[in-house]
Amino acid sequence: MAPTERLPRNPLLLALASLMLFACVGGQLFQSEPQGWWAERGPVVPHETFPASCDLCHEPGDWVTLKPDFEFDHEKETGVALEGAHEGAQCLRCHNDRGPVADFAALGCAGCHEDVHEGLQGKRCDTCHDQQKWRVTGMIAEHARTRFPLVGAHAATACRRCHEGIEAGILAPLDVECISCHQADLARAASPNHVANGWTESCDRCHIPTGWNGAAFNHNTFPLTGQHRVTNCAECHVNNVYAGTPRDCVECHRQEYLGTTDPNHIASGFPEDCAQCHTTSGWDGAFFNHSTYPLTGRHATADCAQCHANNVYSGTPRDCVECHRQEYLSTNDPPHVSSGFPETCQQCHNTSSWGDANFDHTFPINSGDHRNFDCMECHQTPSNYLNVSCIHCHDHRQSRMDDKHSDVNNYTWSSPACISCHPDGRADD
Amino acid sequence: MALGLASTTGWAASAAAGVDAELDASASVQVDFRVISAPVVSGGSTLVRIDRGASAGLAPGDRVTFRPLGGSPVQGVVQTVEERESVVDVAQATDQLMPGVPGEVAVPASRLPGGEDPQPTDQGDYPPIEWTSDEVEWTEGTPLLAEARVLEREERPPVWRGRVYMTSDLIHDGVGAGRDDLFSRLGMDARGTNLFGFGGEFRIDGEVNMRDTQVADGQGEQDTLARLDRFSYALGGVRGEPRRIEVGRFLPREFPELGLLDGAEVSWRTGAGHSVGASIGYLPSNDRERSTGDTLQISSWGTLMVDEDQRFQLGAALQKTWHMGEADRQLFLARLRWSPNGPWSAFATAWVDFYDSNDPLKQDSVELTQAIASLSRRIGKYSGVSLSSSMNRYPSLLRNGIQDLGSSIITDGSNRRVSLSGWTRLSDVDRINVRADQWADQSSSGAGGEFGWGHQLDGPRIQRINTSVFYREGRFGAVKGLRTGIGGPLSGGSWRADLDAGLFGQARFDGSQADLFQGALSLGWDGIIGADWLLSLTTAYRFGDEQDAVSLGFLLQRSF
Repeated sequence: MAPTERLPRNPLLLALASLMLFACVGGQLFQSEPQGWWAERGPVVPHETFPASCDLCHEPGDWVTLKPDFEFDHEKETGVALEGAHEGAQCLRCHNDRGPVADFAALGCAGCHEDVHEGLQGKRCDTCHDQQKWRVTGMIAEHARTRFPLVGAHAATACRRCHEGIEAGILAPLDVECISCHQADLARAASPNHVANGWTESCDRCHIPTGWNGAAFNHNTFPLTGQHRVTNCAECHVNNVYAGTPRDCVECHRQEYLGTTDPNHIASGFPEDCAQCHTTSGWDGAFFNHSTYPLTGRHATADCAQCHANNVYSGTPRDCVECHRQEYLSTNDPPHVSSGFPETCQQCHNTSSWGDANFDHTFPINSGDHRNFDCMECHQTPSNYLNVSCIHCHDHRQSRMDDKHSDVNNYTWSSPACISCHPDGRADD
Repeated sequence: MALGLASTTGWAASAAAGVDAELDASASVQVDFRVISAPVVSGGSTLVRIDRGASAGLAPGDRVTFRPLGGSPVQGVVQTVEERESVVDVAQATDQLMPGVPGEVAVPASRLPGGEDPQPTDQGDYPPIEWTSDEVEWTEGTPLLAEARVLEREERPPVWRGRVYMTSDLIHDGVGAGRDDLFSRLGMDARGTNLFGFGGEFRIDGEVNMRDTQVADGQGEQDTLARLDRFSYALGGVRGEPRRIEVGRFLPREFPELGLLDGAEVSWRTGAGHSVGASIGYLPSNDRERSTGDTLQISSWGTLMVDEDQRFQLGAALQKTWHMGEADRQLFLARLRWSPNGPWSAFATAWVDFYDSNDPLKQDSVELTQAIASLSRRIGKYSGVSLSSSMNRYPSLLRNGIQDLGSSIITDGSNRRVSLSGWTRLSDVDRINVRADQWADQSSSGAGGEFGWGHQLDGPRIQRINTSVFYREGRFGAVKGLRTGIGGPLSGGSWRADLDAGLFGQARFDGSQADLFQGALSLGWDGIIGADWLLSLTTAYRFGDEQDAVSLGFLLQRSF
């Protein structure tokens, strides 16, 4: 930029200089009449309608001093009511040598009051000021009439923090882009470094106007919950690179995925979707959705390794006996193997306890004549519960049974035959 | 009014008797009536109003003699009597009975306050008047029948007028880590007239500002700054002296749009109200420090009164600035003021910047940087409508602005507003107002509206109730809310309580906390304490989502 301008080539400057010259010498060239531009003589306050008895108002000796008990009903005498501070103002504050007060009053407030805002706010001073005091109140309401209502932290912020120099009357239009006022905040934003990441505008996309941190920050593309809430940004956004930060857990937590031994996720073939088992509250307390094999009863509290031996999680069988074969083989009450019990444990047992076995004994033993029988009374061969004896009981002695079955074809007096025809123990079967 | 009676009785008695010789007080009381002075207050051809009434003993039928200066006496008869004034029927129509014309009326002594023998005791605390006005030297051009010569400024005693004040505001924001902000101002604004015997006016206006901001992270700030806003001496610009010069730090009187100036301005005004002026000097910095010496300006301006009543004024100004030695702003200002006695009024100002090829952002262009316009019309005594509009762009300047704006904002930034408002009185105690407006800037636009109702009461403590509802689409969201307030007299002043509550929704923020309910409850009292002291107290509590702040403030001012 050129340090100086060539004056003759600038028509505006020429016009300005000409006007200045005219203004400076005009007064001499057009010397005014003695009374000047305000031809009216007499006191500065119009006295035409005043009583002719001067001493009603004036002290003797001069025209300047008024009597201490002087009163003047401005509204009654002039039709113009004086309100607020005007009511107690000295007459000469308005009625003075400048000229007829009506000419200035017609201009509104600016006719008498200096426009400290340099014309930038228009002529409606009463938008912000009242007639009692010059101190401004009610700016929250006035701001609500602009494109920038005061919300959040802005409502509790001193005016001067945005309108720099307002105490000196400076009230020029401001741009309301956040960054136009918050450049210092932007520069201070080191975690994350907003400038380095190119976040230099549109603060309102991530922040609400109540503050920069905490709830006022919008991380909704990846909600910051649990441990993420207190995590340093740089832990996820490495090297202050925010663009393209992955949202999959394992992309940030691969080291944990690879390093964990309890259980060993790799060896176990765990998926890389950590969220299947873990929450953001912490790695401990992982909850695996064991829906393929619901963990009920004792299984719910069992250590994983009890089923998933050697941290082998893939291919874990779902049949009970595959884990509980030892119990199946060793139990003596009754001996399952010798008794020919099936290996489908769940037929009799639940996951709460072995002792709560509930065998579906089709032959009634909970009611009727066989109620409260000891097992051995029928299963007289301890090693084989498939052997059942009916005929050893005096109620089923052969002579009696023969008589009862005289009309039954192929009748034989043997326990298997009894069970065959009377599986539920009823006589009429 | 009793004072006027007492001071006139003595010599008025002689006039009633038609005798020019002086009569002493003892002679006057021997007469059965008194003649008192009754000057004309308002004139007419056949009916005039005089400055005496029943309190001075007048009654319908009393004869009044007017003695217009340079004319023959005019007779009249009192027609109606009020407490302090009377209406007199003048037998012969005349145009000589202008306000101030002396009049005399004979009043029976028995009607006078105090009975038959009123004594001039009402002279009271005041000594006899001894007027000591000097003879006025007549010069060519002075009307022969001029009214009393007024003292010119340079003949008057020096007078100081102004105010000293202190104001302080404390805001405690309890959100988050918390913040306390204290801002105090101690200042004086005074004008001294004819301090040096030249009839000029000396102006001084300055403040000391104290800031103290405390925040939890230790990044608070404290500073104290003394600032001089005005320090100038002006001569002329008053009647008798149409030329005016002002030097020092001042705001140009006719064109404040040119900005605060450290320099000098000369101006000249014609009898018809036209004026021209020019100034040279430095523009103080556009910040709270108002430091000077960086930006030099020269400017010139002129105003033109379009009508004889001097109610329609057009004005224009040119300003050229250099910042740190480099050419900076070329500004053209145009202004219109129209405030006739009728119901209409209009006002408009435009700032136009000229950019040359050296400007990095707006080279070789002419831009309307800012404009303000309003048009108002009163409808009857209690109604009116107003249309106002404004726009602004951001000038490309070397001189620092309030904000450190980016080049894109300077190039493309703008803001336009237009609003229409109206008000009317529904009854003696009810008033409504309505407002609708629209705005648009470089990125978005919005609209808003407000409807308000005000009611006056006769209660001893509550004399007004105001309520309004509003809606606003702002730059970053929309707010809808309610304001209500009450107020009235209290302890020699007036108190007020206001509640402002709104629901704000942030536009581009998609979090669950995008909707905020916020409110403010404020209390205040303003009053005159003592003869010249003004005290204003305010307090407010801001509450709602993510908001918890208390503010306290006061203004103490003494006028002199």
